Amino acid sequence: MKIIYYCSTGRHTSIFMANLHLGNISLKKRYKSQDLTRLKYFGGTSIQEEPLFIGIDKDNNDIYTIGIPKEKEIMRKLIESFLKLKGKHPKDIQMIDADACSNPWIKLGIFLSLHTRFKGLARQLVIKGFENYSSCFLTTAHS
Amino acid sequence: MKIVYHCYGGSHSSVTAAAIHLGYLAADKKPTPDALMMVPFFDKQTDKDHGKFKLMGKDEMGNQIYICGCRSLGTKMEKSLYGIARITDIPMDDVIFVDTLKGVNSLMRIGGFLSRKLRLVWLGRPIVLKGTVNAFNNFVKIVEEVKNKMQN
Repeated sequence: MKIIYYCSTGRHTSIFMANLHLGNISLKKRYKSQDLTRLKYFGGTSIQEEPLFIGIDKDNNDIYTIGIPKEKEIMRKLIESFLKLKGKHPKDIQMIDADACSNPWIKLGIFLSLHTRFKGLARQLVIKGFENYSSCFLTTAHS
Repeated sequence: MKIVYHCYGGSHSSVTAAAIHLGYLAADKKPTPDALMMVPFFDKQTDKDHGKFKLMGKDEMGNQIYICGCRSLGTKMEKSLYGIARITDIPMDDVIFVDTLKGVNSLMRIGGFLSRKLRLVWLGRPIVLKGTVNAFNNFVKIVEEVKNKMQN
C-alpha cells in the first residue's frame, strides 16, 4: 500500500508526520529545532505538487508526502475517482491529512515562506509551531 | 482514450465542451437554451459532485468522454494526478485532461455562481444559458484542438 501524508506545502507537517511514521524521529512530548532541521526535504519555499517518496515502513508500505494548498477534500476525491477510472482500487492509496495538527505559528510561517522574502523568519515561526504543539502530533501518530 | 473535460463546477463549460465532442450539440451553429438544457449534467451538478469524474458518453472513435468539476485546482490537479499515476504505475498515455475554464465568459461565471453556489436557479440559469450561447464558439475551438491533438 502507498500512504501519502499531505499538507499545504508537502514540505512541513507532512514531512514531519511521514518521518514519525517511519520512525526516523522518535515520539516525544517536545521537539527541538534540530529534530526538524535534520529531516530531509523539511522546509522549502515551494509547494510539492507531485508525491515525494520518503521511505518504506516496516510493513512494506511506501510513504510519500504531497502538497495540497487548497481544496484538500476535492483533491482527495479526485485521486479516488482517478484510481477508479484507471481500474485501480481506491484503497491502494491511503491519504492522511497532516495539517490536522497545524497551528497559527506554522500557518503564518508557511505563508511567509511562500509569499514573502522573510524566509529566515518564516522558518523560525514554523519551528516554533512544532516546538509548542508537539503533543498533537504525538496523539495523531499514535492514532 | 479517456478524455476529461474539467472546469470549476462540472456543470457548464466542461459539459458544453463534452457535448460538442460527443455530437450532442452541433458545432456549426449556436445552440438554443432549450438544447443546452437537454444536455446531461448541464446546470445540474452540486458541491457533492465536485471531484468526481463522470462519464458523458463515447465518441465516434470509441473514446470515453468524462466531465469533472475540480473547483480552482485546474492544472494543479493534472500535475498531482500525473504524480499519483507515476507512483502507482498507471499509464497516462491514454488520458487527456482538458481545462475548459479558458472558454468561460463573465456571464457564465455570474450565472453559474448564482445557480449552483447560491442555488438561485431562477436567476442564475437564464444568465448562464445566455453566457454559454455567447461563449459557444470558444468551446467549439477547444474541442477542435483536442480532436486535432488526438489525430496527430
